[in-house]
Amino acid sequence: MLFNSIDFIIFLIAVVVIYYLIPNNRIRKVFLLGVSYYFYSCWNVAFLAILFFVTLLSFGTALGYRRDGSKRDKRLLVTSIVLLLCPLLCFKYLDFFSHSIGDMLTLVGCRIQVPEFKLLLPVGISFYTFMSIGYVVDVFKQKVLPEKNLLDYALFIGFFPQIASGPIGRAPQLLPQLKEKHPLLYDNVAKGCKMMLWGFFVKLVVGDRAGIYVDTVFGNYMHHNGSSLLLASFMYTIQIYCDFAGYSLIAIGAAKTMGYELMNNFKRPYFAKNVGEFWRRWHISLSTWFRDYVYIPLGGSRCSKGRMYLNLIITFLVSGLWHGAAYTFIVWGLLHGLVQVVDKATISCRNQLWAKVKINENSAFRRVLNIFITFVIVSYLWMIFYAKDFSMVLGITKRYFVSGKPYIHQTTIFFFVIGFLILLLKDLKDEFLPGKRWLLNSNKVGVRYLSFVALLFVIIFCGILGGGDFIYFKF
Amino acid sequence: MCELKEWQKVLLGLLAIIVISLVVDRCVGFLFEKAYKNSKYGIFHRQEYCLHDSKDEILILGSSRAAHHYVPQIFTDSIGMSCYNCGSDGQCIYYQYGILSSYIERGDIPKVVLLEVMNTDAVVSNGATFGLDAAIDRLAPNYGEYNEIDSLLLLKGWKERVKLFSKCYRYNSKAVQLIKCNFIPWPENMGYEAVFGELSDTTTLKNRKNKKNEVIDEQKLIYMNKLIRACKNNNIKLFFIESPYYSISTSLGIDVLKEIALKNDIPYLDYRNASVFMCPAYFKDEGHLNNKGAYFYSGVVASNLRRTIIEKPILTDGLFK
Repeated sequence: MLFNSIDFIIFLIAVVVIYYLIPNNRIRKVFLLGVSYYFYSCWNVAFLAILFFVTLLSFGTALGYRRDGSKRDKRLLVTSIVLLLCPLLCFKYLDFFSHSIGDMLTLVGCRIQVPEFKLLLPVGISFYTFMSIGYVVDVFKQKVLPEKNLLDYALFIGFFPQIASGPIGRAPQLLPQLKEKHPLLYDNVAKGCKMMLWGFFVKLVVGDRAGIYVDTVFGNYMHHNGSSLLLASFMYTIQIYCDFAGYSLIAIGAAKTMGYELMNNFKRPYFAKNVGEFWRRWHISLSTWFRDYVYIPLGGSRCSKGRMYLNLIITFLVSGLWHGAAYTFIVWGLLHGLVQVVDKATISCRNQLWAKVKINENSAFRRVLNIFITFVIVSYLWMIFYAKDFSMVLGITKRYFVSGKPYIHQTTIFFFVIGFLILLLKDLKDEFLPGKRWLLNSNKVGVRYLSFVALLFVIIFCGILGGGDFIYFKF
Repeated sequence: MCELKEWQKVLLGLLAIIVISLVVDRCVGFLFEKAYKNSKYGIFHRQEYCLHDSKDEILILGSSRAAHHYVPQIFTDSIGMSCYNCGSDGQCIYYQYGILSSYIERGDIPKVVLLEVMNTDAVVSNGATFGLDAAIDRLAPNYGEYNEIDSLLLLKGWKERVKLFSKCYRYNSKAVQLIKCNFIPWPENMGYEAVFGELSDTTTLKNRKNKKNEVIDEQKLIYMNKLIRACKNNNIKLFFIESPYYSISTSLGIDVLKEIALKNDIPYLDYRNASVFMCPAYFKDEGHLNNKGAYFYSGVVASNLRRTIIEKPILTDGLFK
């Protein structure tokens, strides 16, 4: 059941209505867990077995700690992390590792037929595996008490708005909310609906529309010139943002209608002034997860510069691998790490140069230039992210320099421009005038309602309403 | 004034959204409907003409290859029957069945139907074109006008019915075409849309390999058979026809369509690689004849049809297979 389907809208309305009609909080949670498992089983009932395994293992591990920092607890932690990672490694990476071994053996002149498993990737497995690992680590580090109520814990892992693609919730933030009874509040429902509507807008009007052009041009890149490929790269950069930020907003909004606050996942990432800042604004729940459970345990920045750079590169290599089982994703992650290392290593040098030309850090010119450079770097790296293999990366890179008029599909470009301009204005306002309350957030009731309906009709007229998949479902 | 309870506020809010949405949907939908119905040029004008006004005796059905390859005036001059080209870009058997059934439902039954067949009329299409979605998207503004078109739209199930309740939804992604069809004159000649430009002289005839993993779309075959039945029941002379390609290939879908033609005693006019047309100067690209090619091709087809329909000779020129 995709978020951008009529089935989901009906499902959500029914769930919210019944949820608030149930007076007892425990029964509410049983109901929510039931519908969450139903929601997840819509993809494939068999996937539930993995979800149960991850839930029970992490729940049991946390209860099994003595919480005295003993070696036993450490062994338990390591064992549980390895076991929790097993389904993920098996379903997502088995073929990749198998092919990689085959490639390496071929390199040393030994050709063998490696087995191919072609396992179906369970939706959301990367997300709930990370949630459960985060939980067992947090309990081990005594940042959070072990949850004794299996119902609450199962709901924390399986809560339907976030199960398919996050946000990757944290126990200290979400578990206490599950224990409270949330009364029906107009503000929660209104805020949740507005977030969802905006999520649908960015996904259906901007993201999916851009996707048509991107797939047409990148899918046939050898026949397109530089201007078309640059335009496709730009549109893919917008598409992936809209696709995932849209998804996250729908998830957060759906939870909000029932009174739950999920972690904010995006903060206008393309206004970042460097790649490091980009990652503090992009997929925040994942970035902070990697920060807390990979980067900091490796030593973080409280070590020598060289070690810090290495930690950064390792973290982004893992992040690349998390995104997909392919060399292109690993290189994509590696390049993101390298760009940040170069940025950090040259910052004093660059500051001196800026000082010589008497342009200070806060000048508009420098900010805009940094935003632009960051956007260009990130866009190029997104192209690598999109590419199926390195020959495609090289092919597109070479053809960036082939001159010619861009391929323009009038309908696609027309609707994309409309959606993109609305998105740009909203993000500019949120970034630079955060205190202003306009349109959907106006103080005037009439303006709020009319804006809501206007946005709804922009979606109906300009959106791709066929129920296309979300890019991040692949991860 | 007493303070509203939270559930009352939520209900009132929802009610307000529903009422405003309904009013906007009906008002804006009405404006779009006007723009659609009054289209003067392009695809919407042609579609509206086919669905409501055409009383032509020869119909040409098909995709862009039909729209760009058949010059109705040549057929009218040669055979002495009025002719209209209903071909439309990216459409397959669903759309063609919808168009033909509108003629039958309103009683303006044509005498001859030339169906330009393509592989995509029989195999599964994964893209946005040549499938049910493409037909639904194009015919959505005409929901409620003809039973057979409605049944096509409802093939997608109850969810499509829910969506089609909205008048505005029917015009999803159609704003650009509506502007073009109302304000930008587009030359056409009884549905024929000329394309210009030609392949370079040095373009060689390539052998295209069969696409792998082609799967027969059973639902498309059902609609192909429905179209055949509709023609038989209404005494419409149906021809399957394949216009020229500047490439050599075979395909699973075409094989199946040839079998269907044979089984139903439908003449299959195969000009796919007829040698007289295998000249780059007649083609805009491998799959489409240019204006010069279309005029030449239409002349040949019309004269053969005249012999078949009027003179009924024994065909010996090798073009009929």
